[in-house]
Amino acid sequence: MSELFLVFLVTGVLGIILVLINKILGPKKSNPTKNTPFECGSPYLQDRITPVPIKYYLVAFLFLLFDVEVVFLFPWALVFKKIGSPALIYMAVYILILALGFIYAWKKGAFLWEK
Amino acid sequence: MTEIFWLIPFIPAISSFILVIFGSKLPRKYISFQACFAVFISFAITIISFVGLMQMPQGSSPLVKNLFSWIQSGSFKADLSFQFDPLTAVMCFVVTGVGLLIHIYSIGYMAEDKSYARFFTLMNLFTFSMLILVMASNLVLMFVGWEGVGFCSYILIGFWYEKHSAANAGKKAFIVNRIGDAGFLLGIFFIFIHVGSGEFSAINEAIAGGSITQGIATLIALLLFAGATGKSAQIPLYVWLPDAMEGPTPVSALIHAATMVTAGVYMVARMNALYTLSGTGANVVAIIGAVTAIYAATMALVQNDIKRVLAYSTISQIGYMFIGCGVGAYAAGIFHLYTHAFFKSLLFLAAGSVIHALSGELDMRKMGGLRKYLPITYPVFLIGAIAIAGVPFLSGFFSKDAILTSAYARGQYGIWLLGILGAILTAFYMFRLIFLTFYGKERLEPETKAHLHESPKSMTIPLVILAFFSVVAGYIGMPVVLGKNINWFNSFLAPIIHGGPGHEAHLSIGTEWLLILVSVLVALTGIYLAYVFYLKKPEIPKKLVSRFPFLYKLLYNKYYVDEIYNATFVNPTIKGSKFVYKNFDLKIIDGAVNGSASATGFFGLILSRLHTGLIKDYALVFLLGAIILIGYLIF
Amino acid sequence: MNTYTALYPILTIVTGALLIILLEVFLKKEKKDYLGFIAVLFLLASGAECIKFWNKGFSYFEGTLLLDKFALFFFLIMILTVIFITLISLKYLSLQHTDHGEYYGLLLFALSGMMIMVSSRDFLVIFLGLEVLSMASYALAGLKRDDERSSEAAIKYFLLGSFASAFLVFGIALLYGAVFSTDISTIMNFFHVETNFSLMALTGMAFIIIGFGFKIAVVPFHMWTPDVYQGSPTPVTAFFSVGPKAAGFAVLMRIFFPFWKEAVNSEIFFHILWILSVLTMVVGNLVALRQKNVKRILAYSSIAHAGYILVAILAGDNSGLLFYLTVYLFMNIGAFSAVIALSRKGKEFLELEDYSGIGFRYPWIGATFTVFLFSLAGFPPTGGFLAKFYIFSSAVHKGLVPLVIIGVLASLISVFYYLRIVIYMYMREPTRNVVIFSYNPALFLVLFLCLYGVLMLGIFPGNILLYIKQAVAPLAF
Repeated sequence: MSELFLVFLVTGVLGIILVLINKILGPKKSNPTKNTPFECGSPYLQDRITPVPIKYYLVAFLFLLFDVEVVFLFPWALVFKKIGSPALIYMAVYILILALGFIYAWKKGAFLWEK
Repeated sequence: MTEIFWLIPFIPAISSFILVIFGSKLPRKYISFQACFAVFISFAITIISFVGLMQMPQGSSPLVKNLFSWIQSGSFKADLSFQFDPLTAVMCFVVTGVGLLIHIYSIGYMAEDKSYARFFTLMNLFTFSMLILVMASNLVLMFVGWEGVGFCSYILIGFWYEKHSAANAGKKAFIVNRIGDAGFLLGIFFIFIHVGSGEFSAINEAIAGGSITQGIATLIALLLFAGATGKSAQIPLYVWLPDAMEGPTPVSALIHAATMVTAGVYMVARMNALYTLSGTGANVVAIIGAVTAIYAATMALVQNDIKRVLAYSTISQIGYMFIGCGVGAYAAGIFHLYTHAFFKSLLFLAAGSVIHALSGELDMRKMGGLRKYLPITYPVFLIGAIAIAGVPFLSGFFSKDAILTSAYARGQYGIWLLGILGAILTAFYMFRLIFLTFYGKERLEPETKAHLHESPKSMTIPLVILAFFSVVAGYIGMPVVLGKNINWFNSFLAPIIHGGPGHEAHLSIGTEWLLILVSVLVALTGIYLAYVFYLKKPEIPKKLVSRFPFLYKLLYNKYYVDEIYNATFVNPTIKGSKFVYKNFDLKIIDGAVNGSASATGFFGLILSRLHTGLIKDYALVFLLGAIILIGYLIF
Repeated sequence: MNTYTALYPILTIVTGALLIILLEVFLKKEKKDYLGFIAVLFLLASGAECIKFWNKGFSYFEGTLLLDKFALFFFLIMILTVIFITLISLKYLSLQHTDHGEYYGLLLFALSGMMIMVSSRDFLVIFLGLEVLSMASYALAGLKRDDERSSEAAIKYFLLGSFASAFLVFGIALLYGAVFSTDISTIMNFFHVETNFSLMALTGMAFIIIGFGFKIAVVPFHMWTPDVYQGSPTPVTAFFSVGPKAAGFAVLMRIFFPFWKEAVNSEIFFHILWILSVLTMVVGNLVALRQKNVKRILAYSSIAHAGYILVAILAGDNSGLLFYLTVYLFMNIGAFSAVIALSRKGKEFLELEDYSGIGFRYPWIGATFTVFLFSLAGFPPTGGFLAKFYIFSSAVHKGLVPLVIIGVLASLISVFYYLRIVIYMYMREPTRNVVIFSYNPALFLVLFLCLYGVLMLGIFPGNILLYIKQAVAPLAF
């Protein structure tokens, strides 16, 4: 296994050396055009990346949360018969906690697009 | 009810704690009440515990209360645990009983002092430390109390710290005690090495089991005794006690007469098995005690400061206690400790009353004829003087006689002779003090005479109580010739004396009567001599001084011991440390320290540059660390 | 005994957290303090349950949740920590405009994560707890939403934290590949028995060390610490410096202590931890010398303390380690409380310069802060001294003399920067006008309790050692 590590070491060191050689030996000439972002040869269209409204993220988060949680219902449904009535209680607790989260999000105004 | 004995030390501690925090805001009356009340409660618990102790069947193991394990490190273990056995009971009675009276006395004595709360805080703290010392069931906790009383005495001697001499006296007491403590601590270390525990019961078992050789026992005994010479002001470490008179008089009475200085005697009595085993150690104790007894008494002969006379007398009397312990009569030594606590604190407090009456005058040459002005102080002072002089039927007679008789019975004739000589001197200097102060011509300054007054009730009542006990306290330990089985004190302390039951004195009745007679004669001779010298023919002392100027100067200057110590130890030490400071500390140490400090700072600078604040750098360091770590694991 | 009762302490905390989150949206802004009191109520309840379970030895989920005395001792330490943090936050939040009620809920969630971590011997469950803790921590770090530094702290903590979590979970996977188990005792048993390990097992173990090394901020996985500690709200920093560290060390103890005993193969891990410990002590203390911000100084100091605690792991001194953590709780939270005490509305005084003359202007705060700094530096008669003394002396007994020498030298360096704060407080003329908001009873209660704890542990360590001895007994299986 030390051979294996040796391989990693050699390749790693080699990589570092190559990058560094480039940095040390290569000529450094800079001009404003060179520093502009590359956009297929045409002048760039926007000043910067415009931010996406944060609400998108929020909705995406919430969707992800509740969606993934619903996924858990499937395996539960599959083994429902085997567990019997306690399964209902388990899921009730689970849904209750979800519901709490839902109430929280609602009251916090997460679903209001314009506030 | 006996189980609550462990509360005894804590009540003064709590009171002291309250006074530290709120002392400056509380009314004076309340402060003194609380301080006295705390000691009173301790005293009451002592009585309850004592009654419980008496009811316990013979031969039952001593009461031990283990509060909790205090330090535990490897094989070293020290518990916060207290014990209550006859010896502790006696000490607790002395500390809380006499302490209570002194606390009450202080109410009047310190009434005009501006640091009232501080005074009572420290007095309570001192009581707490002393109780820890006498109640501890192991050497480590005892050492805590030992150092505690040392600290309290330092701070109480320097109570009037604006006065240069008081501050210096405090410092001196502390440093001299430290020298002894170093030996004491070494002794504890040796005990831990050879016994593996600091518990008294374990030490006694180890000695009984023979796991300590005589040589080791002597070494430990001498080291522990070094601590005792410091705390109990014996040769060669007695020099702090006379200077300690700079403190307020109740402090002198409490610390330097009744309690703290007896710590050494208590320790020797507590470790009696060790001293008995050692033999040599016990002899050293007896010899040092005898020499100190007579040496201090000679110095007391010529002092003019009323408190200093009493200070030297204390040193001398503690010498007697050590004689008792050294010759193996531990009960007699403790008995003298117990009676001495009464009459010596009585003498100190009465002297304080005199000083109070004379608005702070200490010089006996400026007193005289005071007996008609101080109708209460004078008789109690006289009782105290008679008691200490060893006149029959007062407490001092019984205890001193017990010590000298046992010394004689054990064949220590030299020590007995020194003791007898000391007894003459004791009677002489005490009555010299009485005659100079209360009799003869009035030599008062006119100013002090104008303010002359008897002390307030809070001061005189404790005096009267102490005088009462100075008379009767001795009757619990009367010599055998006055009646068989009457020496209750001896049999009470018997359970704590190990290994030497066969040492009981066996003198014929005739010899014992003879010894008593000698003691009585000696006391009376001393008193008579003082009478002749200072009342009948006051010119004799002056003649003697002119006849033996050298001797007088030697005594008056306390054998020049302070000067010798200064020249041999103190000054060279100061000079040496100055030299080392200048050449070694400033140049080499400081150079090295400064150099290494700047080097350290430099590395710190470089390393802190690594914290660029960029996450990618952080992740890079993380990754490098991980790679190196894994690489190390795999190879 | 396998019973669902074992869930109670953790369930109490989680219920409290959910309740707080729910109430938060219904309560008015001025009444957010109530949430803090509710949190304390639930914490006390959970603590009471822990004390009640002390001798019971409950477990649940086929032993994956194990309430042995070791776990319960850590539960109590952590609950105490969170109680202290809650109390010092009450006024702080409204003063520093961070009064989000979720704060208390997040604290409780973080606590439940730590509790899961210390009460299990299964790596997967430990990982679960770690993630619960981490998620809550990231949110806590960024709680001062309008403060750039706080947001920066949150994002740094989040990115590097996920990095470390990835290492950890990868390590667990590799170990599972090698040993076919995620149970700590099975895995460590494997390292006992085998003499020639596969690359997989070793790498897995290394990854796990790295993962926990991040949580307890061991050099070189510590880079996040100063920035996160400085940026987070101060009570949160106090929490980070004590809680997650204790949890991380609890897991390391579970991993390593049984292992050292008959260690045929422990040599290699021993060396790694040795190096990490030395690096942590030295780098943490050296860098702290150069800092001008008190919070940052305390951050580096907490790195250095992790190094000392690693010495205890190396020495196999489990009771010394628990004692150190207990003392560390009191002195570190105490020090941070003193820092929090020196603040007013919208302003915290964190520069060293601000502290000049504080000792005379605010004597109580100055004096207690001094005691905590002395304890951190390891002066007697504080607990910090005894804690260091126990650890170093047992290390000497184990023959780790070079390590102890380095440790003592490092703590010597630390004296410099601790005392520098004291010097500023007492020996410099005040240069800035520092006026603080002083009506803060809960905070002063915590200051007092911490002071009591530090001195009590320094002077009478006997009692707590008794319980610690009981708590570490289950480690030796």
